[in-house]
Amino acid sequence: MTATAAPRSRRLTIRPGLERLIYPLGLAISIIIVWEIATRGGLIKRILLAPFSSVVGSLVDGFFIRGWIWPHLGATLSVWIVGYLLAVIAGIAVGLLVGMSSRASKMIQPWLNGIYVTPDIALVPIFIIWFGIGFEFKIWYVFLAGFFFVAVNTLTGVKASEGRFIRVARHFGASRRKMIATVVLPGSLPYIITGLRQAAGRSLVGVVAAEFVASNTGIGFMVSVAGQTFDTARVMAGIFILITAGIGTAEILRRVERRFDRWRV
Amino acid sequence: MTTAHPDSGALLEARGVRMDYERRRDGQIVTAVEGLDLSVAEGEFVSIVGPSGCGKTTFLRIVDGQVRATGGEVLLDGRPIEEVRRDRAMVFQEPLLFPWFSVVRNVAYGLECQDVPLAEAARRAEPYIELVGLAKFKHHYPHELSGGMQQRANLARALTVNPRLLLMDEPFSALDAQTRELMQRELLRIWEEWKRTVLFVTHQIGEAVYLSDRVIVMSGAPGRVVADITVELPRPRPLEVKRTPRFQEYEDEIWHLIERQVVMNFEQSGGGEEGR
Amino acid sequence: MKPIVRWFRRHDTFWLPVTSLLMFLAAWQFASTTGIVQERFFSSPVGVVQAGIKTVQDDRFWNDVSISGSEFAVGYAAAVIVAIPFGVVAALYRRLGYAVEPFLNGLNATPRIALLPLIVLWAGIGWPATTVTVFIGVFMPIAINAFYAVRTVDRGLLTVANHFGASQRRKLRTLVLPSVVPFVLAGARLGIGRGVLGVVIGEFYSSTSGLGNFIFVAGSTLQIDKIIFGALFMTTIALVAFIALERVERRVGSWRPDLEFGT
Repeated sequence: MTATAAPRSRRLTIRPGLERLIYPLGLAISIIIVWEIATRGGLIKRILLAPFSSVVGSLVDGFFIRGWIWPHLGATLSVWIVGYLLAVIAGIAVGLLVGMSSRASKMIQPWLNGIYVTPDIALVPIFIIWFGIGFEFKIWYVFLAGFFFVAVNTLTGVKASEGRFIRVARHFGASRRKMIATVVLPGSLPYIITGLRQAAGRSLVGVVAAEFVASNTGIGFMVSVAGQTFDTARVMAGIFILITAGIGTAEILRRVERRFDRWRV
Repeated sequence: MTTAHPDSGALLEARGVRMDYERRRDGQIVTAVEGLDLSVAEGEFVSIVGPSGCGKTTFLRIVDGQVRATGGEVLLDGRPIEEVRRDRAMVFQEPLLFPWFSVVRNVAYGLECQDVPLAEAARRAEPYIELVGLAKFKHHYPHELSGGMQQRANLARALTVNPRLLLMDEPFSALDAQTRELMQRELLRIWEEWKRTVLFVTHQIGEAVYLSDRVIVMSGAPGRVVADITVELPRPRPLEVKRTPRFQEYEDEIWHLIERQVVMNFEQSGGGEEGR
Repeated sequence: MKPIVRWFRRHDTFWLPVTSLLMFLAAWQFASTTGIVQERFFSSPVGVVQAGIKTVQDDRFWNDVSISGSEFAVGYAAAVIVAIPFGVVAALYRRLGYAVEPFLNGLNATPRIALLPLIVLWAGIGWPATTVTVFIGVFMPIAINAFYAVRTVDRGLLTVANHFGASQRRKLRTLVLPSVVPFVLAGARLGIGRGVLGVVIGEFYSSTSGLGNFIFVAGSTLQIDKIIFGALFMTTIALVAFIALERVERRVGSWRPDLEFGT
């Protein structure tokens, strides 16, 4: 949807679609060429930067030839998805409940804003003590990393939805249930989706962090081991997978988000 | 031209209405409306005009039941307004259509709130959608409508609950001048077909004269009724009425009544618009 | 209504959060003291305070603080110095902007800590790797905000400036800068959280000193109270910086509509 960006600048009206495609593509291709030449030519040590082609080779090998990526990918995805879904369900529920009670939201809201500064990774050791190293501690930590983002955004949405449209509902004598169904829920949906997007990113960070610190499986673990054994191509293959997952999810959710932008009140 | 209104038989009766509120800035008690008397008969189209801040919107909110007057009484059909639940409907200043609902569902919203099943509510909304001329757009969403069309839907939503008293809070103030004129004509057409009581708040004198049987002129602050003018222009009124001398006499008369107040407001606020 | 009740009600945005915190602490303490939860696994407010008192008397802790502090300070400062010109320049030149924008957004959506093993290879284990991790974390929100801030400078106002024949420099000073500064500050504010996160993960992964390592060691020796104290210590400092920046931001950009890029 380039249309949303168009009114920002008059200058963008000149072949915007094409230029927006060509320039980044050109930049990417030239980086790859320089990267390949510099590493193959010995300008940069291969331990520091594997040639682009060997990263691709590592990916092909890991996915299709020897298939060593699959179990790690499966482990990472399952932790991510389960932890994320738990965070989404709990976050929306808590956000709605707290948001609809003005006293409860006053009690909790200032604390929730702590999410922007709290290094939740610092709590990983506690989770390890509670749940032991393995699937369970990762799930709960990933849950924690995502939960607050969903909850805070849901809460913000509920607060925002209490603006103009509540007046209409009140005027027509809507019951509390009707008000929630027709004003609060739809009005907070765009905010909830923003929360889903932020939480998806944060919980992926959480998975990787947990796998770095204490795990014997997962892409993060794979990357970490490869780093310690100086298999830079494999490190970069893992990074590529994580970047793709991160960008892909964010992009999908961003599209959904834009679709509901009109609902912001 | 000022007429005494009958004591009985009025649909809406306001006696000595007073509204005080605590100003948030300094906690001082401000009187927005004071000693307001007004009576509206069944089937009448009554407008309230007055300068910014004369308490006309406050009065409308009291009649709607959104706020409770601090003094006096407001009776609807002889009963205090607080006891009457669903006899009024408001056409809001902004359209305030739910962006997540189609036109039909928006128009049916009042009925939906009365726990009428959705399908039936939609069926009952249909004639009103047609009445305001949105039949072709009933499955559209608000953002796909122009400002004038959104205001029509806003009107249809209020009509659909079949109120005895229709409250309109400067409903055309956000429209451009041409659309505004056309909407005024539309409103009269609809009103003549629908024949119900309307209480219309505006600050545009011409609009009030064109639409109304009676124009209540308020002065602020605190808001009081300074004149109650019966408009004796024949109906139906085409837009051309606005260019007749009779019409302009009415406009002049009302303008003179509030001129001093308006000029004073203008100078106090440095020429800005009212900040609500 | 009694005056004290009214006073409480009027300031309930302050008192209600305080009450909820006190209630939480009381419940936690109660649960630990009565053995509803094992203190060994859940610690207690008193336990955390005791651990804190003991910890701040230990010189090694302050050594950790200074190491983490310097990692954060250097990484953060470097990010600010590089990210602002980067974002501004990328936005000023249209083609450069097109080329860079998807990468900025993409990288922002990425779990950048995945780069850690690579960073360790490049920068070396310990202090350098952690500092670079902080840098990368802080860089993104600031660069993105600077980029979009320049991009969204009001076209209407630009027309006005051009109409009155404002020079390039005057436009920069009277229009571009005032519009950009609040956004950059917002980016810098978001960057605090990212930077602290960078310190912890960087030290967890690659360091034998610093606050992250302090927490990690406390974890492997099952000292929950010390972990919580360490986390609280960092959060508090980050929060103070966050609030301070928020104040500055409010002063500089009170006209600004509530917009936020990134995260």
